[in-house]
Amino acid sequence: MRIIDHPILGRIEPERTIRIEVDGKMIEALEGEPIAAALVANSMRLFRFTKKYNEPRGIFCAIGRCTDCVMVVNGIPNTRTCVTQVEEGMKIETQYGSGSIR
Amino acid sequence: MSEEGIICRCEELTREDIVTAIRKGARTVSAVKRRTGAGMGLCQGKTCQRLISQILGEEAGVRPQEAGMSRCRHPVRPLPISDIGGTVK
Amino acid sequence: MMGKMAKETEVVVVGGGIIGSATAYYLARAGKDVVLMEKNELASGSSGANAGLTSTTWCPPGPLLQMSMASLKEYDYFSQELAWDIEFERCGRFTVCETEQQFEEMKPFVEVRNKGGNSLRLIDRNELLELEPNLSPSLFGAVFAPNDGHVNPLYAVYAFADAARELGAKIYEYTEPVAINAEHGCVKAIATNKGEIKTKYIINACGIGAPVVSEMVGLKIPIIPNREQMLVSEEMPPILNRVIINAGYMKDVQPTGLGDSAARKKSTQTVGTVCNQTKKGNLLLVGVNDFVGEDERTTFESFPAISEGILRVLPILRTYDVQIIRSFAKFYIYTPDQKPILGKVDGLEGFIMASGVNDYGICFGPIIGKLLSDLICIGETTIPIDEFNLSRFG
Repeated sequence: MRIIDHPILGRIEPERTIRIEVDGKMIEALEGEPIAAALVANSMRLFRFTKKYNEPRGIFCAIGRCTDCVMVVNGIPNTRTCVTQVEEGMKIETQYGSGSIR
Repeated sequence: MSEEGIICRCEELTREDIVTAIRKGARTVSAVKRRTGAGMGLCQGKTCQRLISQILGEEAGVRPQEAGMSRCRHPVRPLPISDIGGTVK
Repeated sequence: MMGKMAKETEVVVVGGGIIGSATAYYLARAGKDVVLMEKNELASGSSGANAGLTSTTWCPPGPLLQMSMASLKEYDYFSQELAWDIEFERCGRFTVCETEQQFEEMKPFVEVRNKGGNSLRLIDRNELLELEPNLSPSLFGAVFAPNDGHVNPLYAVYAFADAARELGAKIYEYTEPVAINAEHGCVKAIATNKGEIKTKYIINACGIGAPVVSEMVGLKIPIIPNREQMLVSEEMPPILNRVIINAGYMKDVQPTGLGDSAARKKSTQTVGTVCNQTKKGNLLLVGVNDFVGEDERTTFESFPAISEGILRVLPILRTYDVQIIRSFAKFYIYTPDQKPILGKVDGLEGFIMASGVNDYGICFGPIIGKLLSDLICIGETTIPIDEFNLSRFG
């Protein structure tokens, strides 16, 4: 589910579809949208597990402020998915704690 | 655990953790931060500071202007080192 | 929280940082009635804004080296036997050499210090990279201090304060001295914004505020604030086992006896590379060092300055594109000869100095507390502190 036509912000243009990989699975995303929007549109709400209590997190503020939505993007942990645009072939992974070094 | 209500989402600190710091003498948001680490995580207190200020009022009668906020420091958002790393290859 | 303030005590410690809280602890442990007063909040000064490094490497042989080694033992005891959670780790320190000349210079440096009782090792590039694989292969080698380490400075202050309180010490925050009363050359009482306390001893354990307190008894203290700026990275998985510092910065900033670090005061700024990874996983990246009065601000320029330095030494941070999440700045307690100001003062019985700790306050806190407690309780110290007396400034 995503907002294609917003009463104030207008319509998403262009509506070019690209493919991104999430935990090994290929999904469709719209060019230019934030990673988090693509995940939510594909019914993926769980983005990471916290370090201390191993609890699930996803979107919280959705404006790049709270850092709850961070995931490992192209190998880089702590990437805020709500303010990072998707790119063709991007590799996104569920983050566990602080992530790991490749 | 987090059933008590998470206040600092980044450092996973509960209301009880904040109250413990207040019982040990913390009377400002900065003092709570120093004792517990609340506000030292990835979001640097953007989410929890106001909540901590509120708890200081509830638990110790501290007014918001006395509770204060953490000192303002750059960067305002996480800054990748490639943006500031100068000329070193 | 405070209740009624004590009207009388044996020792008043002024200053709620590492020196004050540790001193209050040792005195309380020795059975003395102690009041610790802090004008703001515990650990809100320099003790609360630094990298928590505890190092013996730079110390020239003599009392400074003896004190640093003894202080680390006190941290061992406090964190292990007494089990206070202060994240003290003797992880080791590498003083890395970025030029061949620096590496050659470190040979006599290590020899002199080992003769003085330290156990440093000069290691070459191969061994350095084996021990710390993420370091840059461009380094020539390093001085390895296997027993140096770091501590969480905030937790250390709180733990010493909590331990002191458990032993009967009274701790008053938001309490500051306004006058000191003396009679016939002896300390009699300290007047504060919350009332007067009769006392036999006053220990000036303030940081950059030490001159203000000493002024109350007509003493001039040549302490000036020395700002250090540092950056904090996001939490990372373990990438650094030990503390690293570049040899150039150690020479420029610390009183090793090698360079003329005191001459720095005349230059505008000294940039260096110091890094440690905290228990939580953040990297603390030091720093830009200058003399700007009491200006605690961090500058935009410090970001590329510190980043360039650390990327030369830890290139993995560029591949990882580590994020900087915070910067901060606080003051070292600079003295003209970069030695501390400790001990009794001429002409005023009962007034004791415990300041001027430059950039090694966190390291020296416990031993200063212990030595001053001994000075008061038994009249002598196990490590001689005469060369640190205020009278040396004439």
